[in-house]
This record gives sequence, C-alpha cells and structure tokens, in this order.
Amino acid sequence: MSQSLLKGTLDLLILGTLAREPLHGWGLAEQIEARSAQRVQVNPGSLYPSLERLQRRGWIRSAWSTTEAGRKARYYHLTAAGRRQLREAQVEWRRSVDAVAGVLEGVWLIPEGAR
Amino acid sequence: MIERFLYWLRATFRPTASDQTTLDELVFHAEMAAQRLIDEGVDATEARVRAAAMVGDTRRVLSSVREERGGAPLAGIALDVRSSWRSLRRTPSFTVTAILTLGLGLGAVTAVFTLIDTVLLRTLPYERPEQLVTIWRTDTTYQRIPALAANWDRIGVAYPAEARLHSARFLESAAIFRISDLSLTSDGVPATVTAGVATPALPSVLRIPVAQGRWFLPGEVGEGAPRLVVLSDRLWRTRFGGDPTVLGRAIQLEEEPFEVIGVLPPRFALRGLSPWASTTASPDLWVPIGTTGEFLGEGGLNWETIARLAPGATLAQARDELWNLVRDPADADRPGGVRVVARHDAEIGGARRPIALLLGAVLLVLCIACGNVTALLLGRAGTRETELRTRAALGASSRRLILQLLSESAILAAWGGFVGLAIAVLALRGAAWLLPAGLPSLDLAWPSLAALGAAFVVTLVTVLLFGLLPALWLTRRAGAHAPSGRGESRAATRRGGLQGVMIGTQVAMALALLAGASLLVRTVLREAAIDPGFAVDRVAVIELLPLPSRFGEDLASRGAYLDRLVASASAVAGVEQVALGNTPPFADNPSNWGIRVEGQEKRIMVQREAISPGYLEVLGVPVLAGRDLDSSDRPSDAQVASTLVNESMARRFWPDQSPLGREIQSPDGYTLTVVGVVGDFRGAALSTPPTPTFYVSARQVFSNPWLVMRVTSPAALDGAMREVSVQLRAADPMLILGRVETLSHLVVDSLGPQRLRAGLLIACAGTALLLAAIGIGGVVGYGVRQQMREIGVRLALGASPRGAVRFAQRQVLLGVVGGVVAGLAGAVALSRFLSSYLFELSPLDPASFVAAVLLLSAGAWLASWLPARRAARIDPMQVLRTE
Repeated sequence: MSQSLLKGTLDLLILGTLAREPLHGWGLAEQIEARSAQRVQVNPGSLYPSLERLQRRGWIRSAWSTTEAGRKARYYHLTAAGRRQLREAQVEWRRSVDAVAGVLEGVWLIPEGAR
Repeated sequence: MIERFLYWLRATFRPTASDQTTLDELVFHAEMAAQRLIDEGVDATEARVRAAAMVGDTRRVLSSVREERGGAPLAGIALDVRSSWRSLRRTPSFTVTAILTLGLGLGAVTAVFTLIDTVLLRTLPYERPEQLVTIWRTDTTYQRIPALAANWDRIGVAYPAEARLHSARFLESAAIFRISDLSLTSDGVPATVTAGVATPALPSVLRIPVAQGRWFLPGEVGEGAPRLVVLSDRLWRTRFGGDPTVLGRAIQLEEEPFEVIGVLPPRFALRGLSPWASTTASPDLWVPIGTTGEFLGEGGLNWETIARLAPGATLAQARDELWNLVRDPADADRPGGVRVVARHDAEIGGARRPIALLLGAVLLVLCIACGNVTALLLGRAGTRETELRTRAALGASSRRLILQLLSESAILAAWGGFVGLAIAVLALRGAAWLLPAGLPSLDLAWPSLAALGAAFVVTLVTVLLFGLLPALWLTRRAGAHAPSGRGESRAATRRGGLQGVMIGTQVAMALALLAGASLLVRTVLREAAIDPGFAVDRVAVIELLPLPSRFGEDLASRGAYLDRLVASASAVAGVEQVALGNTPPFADNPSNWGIRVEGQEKRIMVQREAISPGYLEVLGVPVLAGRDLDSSDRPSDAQVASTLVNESMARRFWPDQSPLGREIQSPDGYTLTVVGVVGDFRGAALSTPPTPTFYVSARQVFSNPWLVMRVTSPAALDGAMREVSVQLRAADPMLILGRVETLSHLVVDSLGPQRLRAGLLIACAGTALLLAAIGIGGVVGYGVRQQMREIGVRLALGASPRGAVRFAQRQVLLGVVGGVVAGLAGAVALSRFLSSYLFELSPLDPASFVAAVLLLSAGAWLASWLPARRAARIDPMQVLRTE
C-alpha cells in the first residue's frame, strides 16, 4: 500500500484492530500485517507516533501488563470515545471507497486474476 | 474527555517519563521482532541486527512521538520566544524603529495616565472629603468689567456672614479664612511668611485637630481679638527647629507680639482658592480674624469659605439655603447669587480640561504608533512568507504559526514598554516644571501604580491588536496552496489597500494635531504682539514690604519714609526716574472701587490706582489731555483731591465731552476732580482689554507700595536693580523686599500658560508627524523592493530615474491624500475644543489649517522621497537578468 494512503488510514486500522482485543504495539503490527495478507507493512516509525496521537485524542488508553511469555509490555485498549470514532471512520471509509469505485465504474484495466 | 485530560497531565508534567515509556516499548518491539526471526530460523545475532534495523533510528521515532504529544507547552513557548528574538535581532533597523515607536506612544500614555491619577483622581487628605464644599458668591455686574469678568462667580463672603452660616441647617460646620503675606520677625531676621487668617471652626471642618496646644476659641476672633498664632508643621520644623517648648513663646508678626498657642500636624495643609488673593499657598501659620487689621464689615468680600455638608445634604439644598445667609441683610436688592461647589472640584476643576485635551492628544499619538508598527510588521511579513509556508508544509499548525508571530509582537511590546517607562519618567519630570501653578502638589517623580497597571493593559491590547492582524493574514496565506500569479497580485493589492488605510489614518491624525498646534501658535504670536501700552524694555518693579514701626501710621511719617527710599533709589547710577505705585501692571491684583460719577445715582465698579508723581512717566504712558499729577496734589483736610482717568474711563463716562473738570465721588468720602486723561495700558494680561481706571495721589493711602524705576539703557537694567536693592536696604535695614522683576519679564511670564499649551501640542504634533513619516517611509521602501522588477522594466524602456522615483512615491499617494482630507474634516470637527484657548482667532482659522496641510504634505513628500531614491539606482539589466 502506498505510504500516503497509509498515513491517513493507519489510525483506522489500529482502532479497528483494537476493537477485537487489547494488544501491545508489536501485536498490533503483527495483526495488521497478517489480516492484510502482508500488504500493509507497519513500521515502528509510523506506528508509535500514531498510537501517541490516538492516545492524545482520547480514543485509546494504555496500561502496562504482562504477556503470556511473562514479559512486561504496554497494552492498548479502545475507549468508548474511540469506539465512536471507529464507527464514524468506518462510515467515512466506506463512502470514500464507494466514491472512487463509482468514478472508475466500467474502467477496469487490470487483467483478471491480479487481485 | 477524562482520557484527554489525563493524557495532557502526563504529557505536561512528566514528559521524560513518557519518553522513557516509549523507549521501553521500542526495545520490546525490537526483541519481539528478533524473536520472530529466530523462530523462522534466522541466526540469533543477525536476527537482532535486522530487528534493530527495522525499528530504525530510535531517536527519530522518539522525536516523532514527541511531536505527536505536542511537547511540553511551556518549553514550546520558550523556543518561540528565543527564535523570535533571534529573527528580530537580524533586522536591527526594523526592530529599533518598532521599539522606539512603541516606546514613544506607550510612554506618553503612561505619563498622562499618571497625571490623571495624581491630579484628577487623588482624593483630598481629609476625612470624608466628599462632604467638603466651598461657597462662592456670584455677581453678574462683574461681567461688565474686563478685569473682573473672569471671576464673577468666585467672589468671597463678608466676615459677618460667618456667624450666620452657623445657623445653616444643611451645613454641619463652616469656617472662613483668608491667605496673605505678613512679615515675621523672631530672632531678629525679618522674613515674609504666608499667613492664614481664620475663624475658630476651621479644624473641626477639616476634622484635623492640632498636634500640640490648641486652636482659637470662639470668643477669640473679631474686633479686639487676642494676638494668638498657630504654627504649621513645616514652619515649626524649619524656623523653630522643631522646638518642643515653642508653645507660649512670643513671635513678632508685622512687629506686633503674637503668642504661639499651638502647632498643626503635617497633613493640615489648606490651599487658598480665591482668585483675588495674591497668594494661594498653604499657610505657614494661622492667626485669628481681627488681628491683622482686616475690614470686618459687610462690604469686605475677602473671605473664602470651607464648610462641611450635613450628612445627607446635597449641594443644591445648601445653595438654596445659603443665599439668604451669605448676603448683606441691609442690601436686599443687590443682584447676585451663591454657588456651592465640592471642594475637590474647586481645587482641580481648572485642570480637567487641559488634561482631557492632553489625553486625547496622546491617545492619538499612541494610535499612530501602533498603526506604524502594524504597517512595519505587515511589510516585514511579506518577506517571511516563504519561511512560514515552509513551516506550514512541515506540519506546523496555524495555531503554532500565529503563536510564533505573536511572540514577536510580544517581545516588541515588552521592550517598547521598558522604553516607554523611561520616556514616561522623563516626561513627568518635565511636566512638573511645565504644569500651571496652583494645582495640588504633585509628587510626579515616578509613575503611580495605577498608571503602570493601566499602561500594562494598554500594552497588552496593543500587542494583540497590532500583532494579530499581520499574524492572521499571514498564516492564512501561508497555509493556502501555492498561489497562482493572479492570487499573488490580488493578495498584494489587498495588503497594499490595508497599508494605504493605515497610512491615511496616521496622516489624518497627524494633520489634526498639527492644525491644533498651529492654532495655538498663532494665538501666542498674536497675543505677544499686542502693545501693552507702556514701555517694556527699561522698567523694573520692586515690591516694598516695610515693617509698620518703620513705615509709620500717619501720612506724614509714611510720606517721609517713602521719600527717603525714592531718593536713595534715584541716586543710583543709570537710574533715570523712580516713582511709586500700589499695583504695577502684571505684578499685582488691581483694586476695584465703586465710584459715583456726578449726576448719576448708581455706583460703578472701576479700577483704582494710587500713584506718586512721575509714575506714569516711568511707565511711558502718555498724558493725552490736561496734566499729570504732581507734588502739589496733596490730600487736604477738605476731602477733595485731583485724579486722572484713562481713555477707557473717559470714553465710558463722558463719551461726548471732555472729562476735565468733572467730579467723581469716591467711596472713602473724597470728591475727586479730573485733571488729566492718560493712555490705556494692559493691567494683568495682554489679552484682557484695559479697564476704566482712575489714578489718585498715593500720599493718601499707600499700604503696599511698589517702586517702579526706569533706567537709561536696557543693558543697565539688571545692574541697576541690584544696586537699587542694596541702596534701599541701606536706607532701612529692616525693609523686606518682595518681588524684584523687570516689566518685560512679567509680560513674558503672563504668556506662560499659552506658551505651555502650544508647546505641548507642538510636541504631540511633531511626534505624530514623525511617526507618520516613518510609516510612509517604510511602506515606500518595501514597495520599492517588491516592485524592483517593474521599476527595472520601466527604466529599461526609457523612463528617467526621476520618473522611477516618482513611480515609487505614488505608492502612498492615495493614502496620504485620503488622510489629508480626513484629517481636515477631523480638525474642523475637533478644533472647537480649543476655542477657549484661542485669542482673537476663529477655531476654523484658514491660515492655520493651510499651514498644517503644507507642513504635513512637505513631511509626507520627504518621507516618501528618501526611500524612493533607491528606485532610481536600480540597474535594469541586473534586475531583468535575475528572472
């Protein structure tokens, strides 16, 4: 995925991933990479600033805890405000996708099979 | 919501802990990444290396995180201030100009705020000062006599009225007093002191008891009053060295023994407000009424009153009640009225108008200063556009940009405030010297706390005003996408329009001030050009204050005494002629007597002068008909005497016939025959027309003689004055000399207040003009820089260098012309506030306005020409090459 598109949607990806379960930073990166079939490579240079920004806006909360392996890690939870924001962002994302698809309707230059 | 607040708390107060947290996280992230690589079969060391590479430069990640956090807000501000200070230092001419401009405006405002605070708002140092009132009588007949007209509503009361005041329902207490000069001899050295003559109720009206001893008792005033005296704190400390045993001592006042019965506390300081008194300073000592030969009858309207209103009483109630009490019961149909004025108003009323005018002027100056700095900032903002656009692109929010620009304005305002404070202190020192005498004592050494507070508020407002505008405008431009060519010129026109408006406003205000200043200057010049009617350049006056024992009581001894003095003065080399008079022009208050002209019933108030032969000759006043008084005009027992009248009196009473031989009835019983008519001359102020006056021989009634002398040449005047003083003292060692002045000095002094007013307004107008010029120069200079290309093209196409200069000057033409028009309108509207200060000049005097417009236009042209000259030096080839 191109970097410029990623910048805007990383917040959405994080919020969506945390909606399933609380995760630490590394876990988040792993989850996003896995679910996007390795197309989205989350590097720490953008992940942690995003996490900071989301915390500043009050959409996620952090707390130190221990992993299954017994190590100390900082876990992030979605807050109620974050849940609301996720809902809105999803709607907005849906609208953007539909808008682009609407413009490109019928203009399908990609050969079949290259998904 | 709570989350955000908690986050903000953590970010602000524990930034390093947050940093540490992030670092820990990154370490964890790297370890987990390495672990996964190891699980996939990568070698342990390589796994760690690759994991570390994936995390990347931790410092960069940390700074990104920090930026998201917003950083500690306070540290951010400090950074802004430092960088703003650096950028200001890089452009010293702009910075110094802006700071000086602000300093001028703020300093002037601070000084005037202090004036207002100390003069107008300060309360009297008495208990419940709002209850204290002054009672004046009014008499509209005074308005017909020029010398009396100004004070027709500030006439004093007669002594018998004081007893009647005590029965007033709306007054709690009342006292009357008068301030004059007496001679004090104790320990031998004679001196003149300011003495207050008062009634027993005075300390209770002020509610300030004596510090030591006692005041006069109710029975101790009036005819046959005992000779008691109460000292002021100041006199007790200076003359008597704070001697604790001073009570009971005897001191000599006018060579009579007075017993010291009390000493007052320092805060007992009562100024006289009567315009008829020769002195208004707070007295050095107080004596009871009746001990100094005052006239105690109904006709002696010499006494000032100070009274305390009864609780709940209003001024109107007091006034209605008092008229019947204050006037002479035997003179029931005399016209007149009474005014009850709050003491505070009476003391400072005269100062309100000039200070209000001054405040208006300095506020105008401050507006101009702020406008200037705003224009300078706008001009400078243009050059910083690219820098700010870069910052915006790098992620700075518009809020941060505005804060950065505002911090620049704040620095300028802070420095401007310091400079302004220094200017204010200097201005206050100057003001103490310039202010009219008679205002309450002003300790103006330092701006008061209240004034500082007000100035601080003004500074804050100015920062916001002149900083916000360019900041908002600029950040909006910087945040926008890269402007097309059209956008560029549109914005430039908008900015140019804004600058034009600001220049126009400054020019308008400067023009208004200049017009006012030129009106006042013309007034001063007009007044100074008036011929006073006497010879000014070779005459001096000396006030003689002889002790009663030397002077004598009867006419013969007084005559002999004065003859001796005149002889010793005449003997001095260089002295042409010496004479005596009781109120020389410009030196003392004239006395006004009600005379009856033969064949008429009514008494008319005219001015009366007692003179010795030769007095009019010394002054250079011509005898127009008949003869001068000479030594044969002595008073005789038959109560008849000769008199001279001046032109005004002759015209007034005998318009169609010669006054010679006519008779006048003087209130002291004399029948006076007119033997001569003399020329008019000005008595107290150049702007006051001469009063009808009659002159009698001084042999009869000299009480306070002045010596007038004429010298052969003006250069000899100073030396002759000194020598005559020496000779007079040699003739009588106990003689006290009062004022010793040249007539020209007295005349020049009388113009003092007008010159002061003109000077102040000139200062304000000059400052305004200077500031407007700076503004114009700045705009033109910036315009030249911005339009270098266009000017180069014009030059290349054959325009002359002078044409290029004129093109650059045209920038401000519209603004200046608009400003002149607006300024004229404003000056016309505002000049009527000056009308009371003008003399024989209309507030719309065209010559003054034309002068102001010319001066302003010249200044504006010069201010635009100097920076525009750079346009002529532009090398068109170089400019076109750097396309």
